[in-house]
Amino acid sequence: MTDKDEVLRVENLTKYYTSGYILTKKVLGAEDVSFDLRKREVFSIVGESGSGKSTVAKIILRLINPTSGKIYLDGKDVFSFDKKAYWRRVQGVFQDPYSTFNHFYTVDKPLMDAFSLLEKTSSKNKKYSKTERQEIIRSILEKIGMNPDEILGRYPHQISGGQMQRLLIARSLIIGPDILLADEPTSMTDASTRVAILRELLRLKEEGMAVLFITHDVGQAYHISDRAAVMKDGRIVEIGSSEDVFFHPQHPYTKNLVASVPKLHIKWNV
Amino acid sequence: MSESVLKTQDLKGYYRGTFGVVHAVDGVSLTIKKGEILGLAGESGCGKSTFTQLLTGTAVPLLHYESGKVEVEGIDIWNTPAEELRKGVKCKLLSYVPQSALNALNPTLRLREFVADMLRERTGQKCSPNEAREFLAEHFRALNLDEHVLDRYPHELSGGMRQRAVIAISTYAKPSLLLTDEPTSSLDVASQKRLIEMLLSLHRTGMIKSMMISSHDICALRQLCDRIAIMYAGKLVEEGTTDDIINNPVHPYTTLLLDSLLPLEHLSKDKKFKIIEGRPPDLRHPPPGCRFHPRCPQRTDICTSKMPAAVEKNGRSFSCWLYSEGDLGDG
Amino acid sequence: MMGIAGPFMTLDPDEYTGMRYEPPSSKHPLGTETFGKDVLAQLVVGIRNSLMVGAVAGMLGLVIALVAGGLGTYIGGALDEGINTLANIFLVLPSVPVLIVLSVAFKYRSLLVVAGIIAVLGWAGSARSLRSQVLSLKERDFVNLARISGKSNVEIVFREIFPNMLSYVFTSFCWMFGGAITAEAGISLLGLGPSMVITLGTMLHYALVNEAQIIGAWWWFLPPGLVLIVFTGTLLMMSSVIDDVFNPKLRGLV
Repeated sequence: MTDKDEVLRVENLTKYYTSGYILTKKVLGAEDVSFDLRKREVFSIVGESGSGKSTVAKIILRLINPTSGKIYLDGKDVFSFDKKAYWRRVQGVFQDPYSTFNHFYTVDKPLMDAFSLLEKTSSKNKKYSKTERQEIIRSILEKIGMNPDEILGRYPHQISGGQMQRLLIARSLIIGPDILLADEPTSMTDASTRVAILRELLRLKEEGMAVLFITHDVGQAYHISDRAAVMKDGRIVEIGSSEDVFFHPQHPYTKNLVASVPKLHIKWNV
Repeated sequence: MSESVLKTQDLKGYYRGTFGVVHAVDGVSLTIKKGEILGLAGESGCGKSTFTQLLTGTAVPLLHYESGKVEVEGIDIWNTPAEELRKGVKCKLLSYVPQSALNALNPTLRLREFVADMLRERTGQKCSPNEAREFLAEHFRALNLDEHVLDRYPHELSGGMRQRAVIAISTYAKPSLLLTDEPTSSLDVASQKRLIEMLLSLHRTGMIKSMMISSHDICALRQLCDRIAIMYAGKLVEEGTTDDIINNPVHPYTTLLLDSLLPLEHLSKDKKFKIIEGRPPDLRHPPPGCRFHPRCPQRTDICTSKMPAAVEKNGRSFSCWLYSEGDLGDG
Repeated sequence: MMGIAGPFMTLDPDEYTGMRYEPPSSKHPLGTETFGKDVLAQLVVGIRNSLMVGAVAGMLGLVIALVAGGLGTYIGGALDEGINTLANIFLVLPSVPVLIVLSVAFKYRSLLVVAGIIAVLGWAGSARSLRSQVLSLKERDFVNLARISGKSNVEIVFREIFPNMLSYVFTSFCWMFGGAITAEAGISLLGLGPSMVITLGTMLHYALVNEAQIIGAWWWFLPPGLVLIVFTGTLLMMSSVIDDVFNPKLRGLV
């Protein structure tokens, strides 16, 4: 039974990384991961490094293939989709903005490249001229509160990490997906710019997008998301509404996690 | 004066290179009293790592000590010859654990061999790995660390374990002051808590009398420190007890910084997701007057041209024109 | 430089303009060789031809290395395995015997043919080093971003990965260039070099064959030998300087 708000459903996703041909070694990436994403919500996957959350992110972005399991987009099996058509519906923002921008080119390049995806998947063979692209880019930047003249034409090392992340969100907006996967988008940014990025994600949720927020920061996950899942050693150990997961955890791992996070207004009794 | 273990006066340190001159630490006066744990907070680029480095009396490439005094237990660090510093001050009085210390362990040596090398260098006496192990085993046990960690190679230990081992090794001589830079930043949540507990235990048992912890994680500092000092763009903006800073911040930057945090607590909706407009200044050309004024929602004319002096009142100090007379106003 | 401008300034290298084995004089600054032809003239033409062989072989080898090492590695899977194995075979091949066999197979060997042979035998080394670069760049986020923008493999390899490898590409070219010049000199020395054409190697070959060193006509074999050494040395130095130019982090410790 699919909930009419459900946009993505992940079922029993499992990934083993294998290396070597003769003496194969298998490393578990993720095991039996199942959850669903709904329209107009922010869903967080919280886990430490090695928990498998990045593996799940890469599979959902179709950057790697799962060993087994299924993903359904609007009820249709994702692996039967042409990849480009899929990427029009599902886009991503990665953790390290300095690594996400190719330093050889200006920051305009990923934005311009986004149009080529639109052109390749356009049913009407629509082509975007350079002026059209620039107009759209400018209007989107202004919409998210950035000044195009301060940003466009520069090289990555000339702008800040926070600005780069917001540009990457702008890039996704050009494509206009239904689902945005943000993989640790704030872990390499300052406290001041972190908030700007989170606010932008929340705004996208208000506009109807489903946002999958992957993080190790429990506080951020709680404040930004409606529902959340906690992963450990490749498995989901807890899943539910944010309030339930973080303030009334059931699983011992989550309980321990939540208790180990330093609070601001409450001092530990150590 | 004998009450303080560390005292800096108008300390300045700049980075000089082909890129120009970066005024990373531009006149910081800070005192750490004996027996207290001070947290140095601020975002990346504010100068806290540079400041911590300057306290040790060793400059790294490109960093130049410019002026100002650093006194550790009365010893003027920058006017003492390097040999004397090495033998007398380091490890005995002052121990510094830099940010990536856990990655600086030689991967080809077991920890006990690394310790043996270190002891040989510090004391000038021969020391075998087994002797080193014996020497440290008790210290490890006292800190609730498994002494068998010393028998391992660095890669066999988790990040959290390595960090704790490094701090344990750095404190074997029970220095009067421990300086650590971002001790928790690359660790997972459970390891962070264990590290915080270890630092508190070092302090409570009297092994390390005083500490300065520099970190951008204010929640972690809150759990650890008695006092917190906030740095911005190379200068100290506010300093006070942890309770005062967290519950009654004075400087606009402190207030905004605290508001931008998202701890795992229930926060009222209007207090969440507050942005600090703008970006930190380029320290090659710092703005005139108060360094925060371009981003300050409460700036006045005088803020743009003159630097506010530090004002001390009620056991705390701050540099802001809003309260220049020492009058905390209605707030 | 000498190779390009030279031939216009000196005597015709094929003409018999002097007596046999004349030592250096003002008419023949580097003397004459066994047939009375001017050595300097030959040297100049030889430099030009050697450089040409080097350049062509270098570029051809580089292109093969880029496509095989770069594109093949990026695409991965069986293609990558196959090319990697092929490269390993080529690396292990004893180049001199193979060169000899290939050279004999062609009755008339033009400069281009020789360049081609050298390239085909030499691409493997560069392919290996380029491969490791590609493997590491492949995991970077900007590659992932290009993938989810729907870019094709070819687009990604040429427009995302290669620009970040420029210093390696250039260094590889320098190596192949130098290696090709030396390889050409080697096979020419054995008499299997380009036919009817003067190169540094062929000069050495004829000098050797005519026992110039016994007669004492040092002006015949020493110049080409020295020039060869200078070339290879310069190219090696260039490849190490390149890293400074292309790596902004090394420039003034930014």
